[in-house]
Amino acid sequence: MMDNKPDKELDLELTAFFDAVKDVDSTANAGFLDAVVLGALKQTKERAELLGPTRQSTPWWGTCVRNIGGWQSIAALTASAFLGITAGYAAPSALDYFGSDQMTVETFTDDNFSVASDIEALFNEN
Amino acid sequence: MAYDAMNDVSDDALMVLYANGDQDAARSLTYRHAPRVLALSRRLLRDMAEAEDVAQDAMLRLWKVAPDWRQGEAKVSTWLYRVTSNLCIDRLRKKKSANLDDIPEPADDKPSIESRMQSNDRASALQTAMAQLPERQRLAVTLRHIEELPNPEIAQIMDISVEAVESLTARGKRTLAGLLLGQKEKLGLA
Repeated sequence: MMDNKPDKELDLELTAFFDAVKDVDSTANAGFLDAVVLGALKQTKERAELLGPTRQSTPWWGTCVRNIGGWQSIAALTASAFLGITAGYAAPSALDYFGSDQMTVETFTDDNFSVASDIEALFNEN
Repeated sequence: MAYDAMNDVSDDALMVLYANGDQDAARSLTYRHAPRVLALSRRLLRDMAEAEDVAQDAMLRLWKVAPDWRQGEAKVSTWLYRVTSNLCIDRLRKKKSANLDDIPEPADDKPSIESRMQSNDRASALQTAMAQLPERQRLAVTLRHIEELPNPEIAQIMDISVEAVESLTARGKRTLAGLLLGQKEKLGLA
């Protein structure tokens, strides 16, 4: 019976068959290998897309704009700054332009160290 | 790094290079492992188109796992053989359940094997006989005697003990001997 043969004897008897198989199909065609390499390339691209663009592609000023709040915020800040500087330099009478009749400018006749008259009266009464 | 310069680079290092976007590393890994993966799946499935599908699938899984590859934990070849053999066994089982009536009983298949032996060479005779083995035995015999892997590595691939590998290969060889050695004269081996 074949079943009773020891392993080494079986190995020897089957060696010719195993060798024949090794000789026959040890090659892979170039098309298959190219397809595998292409698969690797696609996988790399998919991974890169998943990770998104790298930080290096954004310049430093772009990061600043984004941190401030975008171009809309920059525009609002610029307009506010312009109005503030204009108001600071303009003569008080010129500001009537913004509020027309309802806008008043309070002027003080006393010096900077004077206090309100009712407080002054309280001082006088001790 | 150029592809030619990568011949001495370890598989683990190539995996890191590929994970960092180096396509030459992918090419090197492909030429190093894909032919063996294809050969294994071809031997197990006995269908070239299906074998190429499985081999490509196994390699694709390798590319996907590359960024998380832990160096020194498993050999790339062992990992690939494991994935490939699992994919092949899945396909064989699906085929079996789909075409149960088409699979011949081993006892009734002898005349068919003999007729094939008359027209085919030893290799096809062995492949035919291998097809009669249960899938685990076929895998163990293929890895041990055709891929020439050591038993501990086969045990890792198949997720079984070394003793179980020895048992599977021994039973497989006995079955093969029973199917093939009676035909030695016809195959010019007597």
